[in-house]
Amino acid sequence: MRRTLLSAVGATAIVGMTLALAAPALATTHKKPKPKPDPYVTADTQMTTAASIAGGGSTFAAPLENAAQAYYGARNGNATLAGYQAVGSGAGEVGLLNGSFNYGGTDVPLAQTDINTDAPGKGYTLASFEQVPVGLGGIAMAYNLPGFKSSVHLEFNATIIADIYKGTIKNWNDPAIANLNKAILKTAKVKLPAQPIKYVARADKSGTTYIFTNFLGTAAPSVWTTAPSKNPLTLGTGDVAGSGNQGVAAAVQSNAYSIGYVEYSYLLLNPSLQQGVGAILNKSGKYVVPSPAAIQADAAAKPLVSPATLALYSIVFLPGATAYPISGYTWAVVFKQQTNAAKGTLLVKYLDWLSHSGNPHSTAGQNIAKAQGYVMLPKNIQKLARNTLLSVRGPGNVILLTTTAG
Amino acid sequence: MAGVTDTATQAAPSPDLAEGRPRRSAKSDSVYWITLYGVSGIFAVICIGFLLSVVSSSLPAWEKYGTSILTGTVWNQSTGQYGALPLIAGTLETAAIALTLAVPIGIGTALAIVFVLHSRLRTFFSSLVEVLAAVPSVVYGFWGLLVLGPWFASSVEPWLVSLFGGHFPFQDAPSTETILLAGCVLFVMVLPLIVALTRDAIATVPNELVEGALSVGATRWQVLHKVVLPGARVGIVGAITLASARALGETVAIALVIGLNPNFAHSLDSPAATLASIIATEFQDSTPIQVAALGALAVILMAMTLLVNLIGRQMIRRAAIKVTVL
Amino acid sequence: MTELLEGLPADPILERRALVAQTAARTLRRRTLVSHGMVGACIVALLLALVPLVALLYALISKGLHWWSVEFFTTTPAIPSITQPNNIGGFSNAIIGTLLIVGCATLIAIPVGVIAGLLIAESTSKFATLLRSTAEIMTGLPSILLGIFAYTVIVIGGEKWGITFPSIGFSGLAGAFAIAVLMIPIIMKASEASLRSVPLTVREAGLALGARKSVVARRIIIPTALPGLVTSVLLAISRGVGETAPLLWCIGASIYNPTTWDLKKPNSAITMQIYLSATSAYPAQRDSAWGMALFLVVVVLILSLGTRLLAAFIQRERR
Repeated sequence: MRRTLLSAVGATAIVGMTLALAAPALATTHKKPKPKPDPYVTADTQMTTAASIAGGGSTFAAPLENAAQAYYGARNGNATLAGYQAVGSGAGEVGLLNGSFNYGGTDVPLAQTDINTDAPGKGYTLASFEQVPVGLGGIAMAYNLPGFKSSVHLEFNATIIADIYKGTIKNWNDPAIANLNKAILKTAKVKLPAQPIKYVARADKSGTTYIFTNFLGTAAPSVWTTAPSKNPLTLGTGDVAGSGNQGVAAAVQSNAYSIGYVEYSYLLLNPSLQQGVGAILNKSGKYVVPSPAAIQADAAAKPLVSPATLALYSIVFLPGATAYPISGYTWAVVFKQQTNAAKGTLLVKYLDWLSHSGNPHSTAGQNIAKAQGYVMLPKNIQKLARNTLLSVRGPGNVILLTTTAG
Repeated sequence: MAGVTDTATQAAPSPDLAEGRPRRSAKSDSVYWITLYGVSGIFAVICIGFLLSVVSSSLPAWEKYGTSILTGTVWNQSTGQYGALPLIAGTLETAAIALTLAVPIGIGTALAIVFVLHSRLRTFFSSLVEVLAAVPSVVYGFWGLLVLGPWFASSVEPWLVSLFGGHFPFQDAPSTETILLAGCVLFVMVLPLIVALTRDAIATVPNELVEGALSVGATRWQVLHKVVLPGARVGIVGAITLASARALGETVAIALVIGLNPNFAHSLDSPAATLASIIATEFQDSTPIQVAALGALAVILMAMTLLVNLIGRQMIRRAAIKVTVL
Repeated sequence: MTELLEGLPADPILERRALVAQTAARTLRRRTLVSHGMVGACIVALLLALVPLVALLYALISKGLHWWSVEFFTTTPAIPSITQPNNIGGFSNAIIGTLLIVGCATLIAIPVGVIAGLLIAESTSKFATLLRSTAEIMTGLPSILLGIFAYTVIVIGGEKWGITFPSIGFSGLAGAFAIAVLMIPIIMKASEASLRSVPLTVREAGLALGARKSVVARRIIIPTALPGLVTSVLLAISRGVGETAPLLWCIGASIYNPTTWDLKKPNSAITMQIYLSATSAYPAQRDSAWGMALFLVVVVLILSLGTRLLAAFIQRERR
């Protein structure tokens, strides 16, 4: 009798806890707020059949993807956007190739070498994929120097940054840095500390690292002799590796005398990072601080972009007085031949919406990008995205994207 | 009379019953044993599958790199070097820091709770320890990253650097993510475990022994030292084994606070990496050969944990014999 | 009379007692000092142990409690933006995810764990001994290895060792499988202990009445050991709820995963939510992780307290 009572107590505990935890479920099913209908989102982007897709990859694009998926999913009854895992460009490509993601986000388009190493033996070629530009952003050099105000922007050129990341320049008060910034330091009445530089790099395979190393190789080819790569950079003994852009942002914020490369919108999201933002020497000889206008100026120097080769998609270190030299597009990679019609349709509709900006009465992906600190894709790049998506086929070789929007 | 509804035994009262031995009906009880062995067999198959998957995923790496995985000192995915030695060192160092702090403090705490505190306080502290033993590891890591780390970087590490005069083991400039921080976070995680298990072990020492020792004039410490601790030896060794296994395999908490730098840590205040944290951060973006290398790390980690378990069980066996002889 | 006694040789036992008493009196001062010192050291150890633990609880409560609100537990996460940096919403998707994943894991783990526990408690065969050692070893293994296992077998699947596994992709099912494999050895070990503790007399009484072993097990052993079995299940659940590493690559967690009760779809979980929020780009999200962490600690606390209460009842019952 006592025994059954005890078991009843135990069982009631379990059931009680379950019910308590299930309360949110009951609450949310009754509490979904109905968002206002949105003309652009409604007309061409609604799904008639239910489908669910998930993506993952580049942390460069993570703030954009998270906001976009939430906005789109809330207004599209049949579409379930089951999340974007911000695991890095390398993991995005791996996930796409092994089928765990429906689209992979990456800051550097897929190359045949990537396909060969990530999915050997599967016989994929570049022609099996379509790569859609979905965002345009820049990479800021954020540093943490106690005592330096946010109005002071230390100037760096590619040679100095390359030397820092190779370990050749070890201390903050190295003559190279000091000489370059003589005037700035005098005006601000601060001195560079005699502390070792901790540089922060990515621990995972990162497209952001690729764009960063591409910049170093393009602007300082005699110092940075290795080809651009997503692979983690070699660290010295005091240096820290962060997982994802957010890991680098956190590491720079918490380690004094550190410097790291982060995507620009992470600067806006972490005000304390804005204490130290570097001004980088661009091709026209000017030192530019990252800003949406500067990134836009850089992208404008190369209107024709294609994911085919590095020379065609790289926009680092381009001429322009106000251009910010460390900028890049970020891409979504999908299989050209989709095997599931509903999923494929949702995929192309979503990516089309994501890569376009709306009209004055509606919001599309690029409007959300702007709110998150990215630069809206130029019109011709939006067209490139549309044309690329028109080549994605479903079962029976049907073109999946049907749209009338401009 | 519940349970005796079996017609087989009722229909044919066998001479066995008279001797008190029930007659087992061969065909009906086999269902019982089939279920038991069948379900356990499922579990056994899962365990074998688990072992297989970890080992077989690492085979390509062993084939390609051989023992250089165990002896190499550089772990660099980009250059294709997969030497796990710095990672093994990092794992052992963090576990060593954690255990060096946790074992004496944990045993002392358990002794204090059982023998020094008043009974009301005893229940309170015991419950407190139980609560903390159940806190999930991600919470510890997150607390270490956001609370302990900044405090270490701003106060503790500069003090230690000045204490050691810039020499080993504190000669580097302090970072926030360091081996010391990782070791201390592990210490806080492992401490409630050791305290709880040691307390349980101490409770099994018969009261008569303790009272007997006190009655012949032993001081409190003599009783603890000569009677309680030897008597609880088995449980204490078990506690340390469990704590070591936990310290070696901890993933998420360490990944948050160690800095993920796969080099040998020069000093206790530089970032480093452990086997589990590298597996966790590099797994998802790895090419198949890199996944195999990470599988090799997993095999090494599994071997280390198994070794600790085996050593622990061996010591428990020997300690148990000593106790019975006593 | 005394002349007789005086003639006897000295009693070695009395002499020895006198020697011991002498030594004790001589060393009393030193021994007492040492004792006070070491007991003091134990108290110092207790205080040293309390400091980080209390600091943790304090941080959890001071930084996490203010996040608790009805909205926090019942709404899904909102996306902060540059203009609305504190727009966090809640984490109901993670609560439901944990409920689903740990719930399914428990449903799988209870029958397997209890029945296997019954086997190792009842049988003395080699297989049973091997199984017992296996369970002990499995409880000590790092849980990330289980995550690798679930990823290889369920998320990716495919052709392995001659069997074709279904490729389900990132899903709640993979997470539930990993957590179930984690929970089964825990339930096995704990149920073995409580099943064994059923008194032999009760068992033999059943057998003596002519019941078969299966009937004895079903009608006598399990009902007697039921509180202990429930304890073992609660213990395993509290462990399962707190695990992060096995879920890292199995459930496809991102902070904003939509709420779903579908096991085949990606899902979130409270532990993953804490991990992702703690490493998030948005400072407000990092802060909200404290609120989630406090909730998780409270849940685990209730489960462990439940375990302790049941165990205490059993102890009292036994007497």
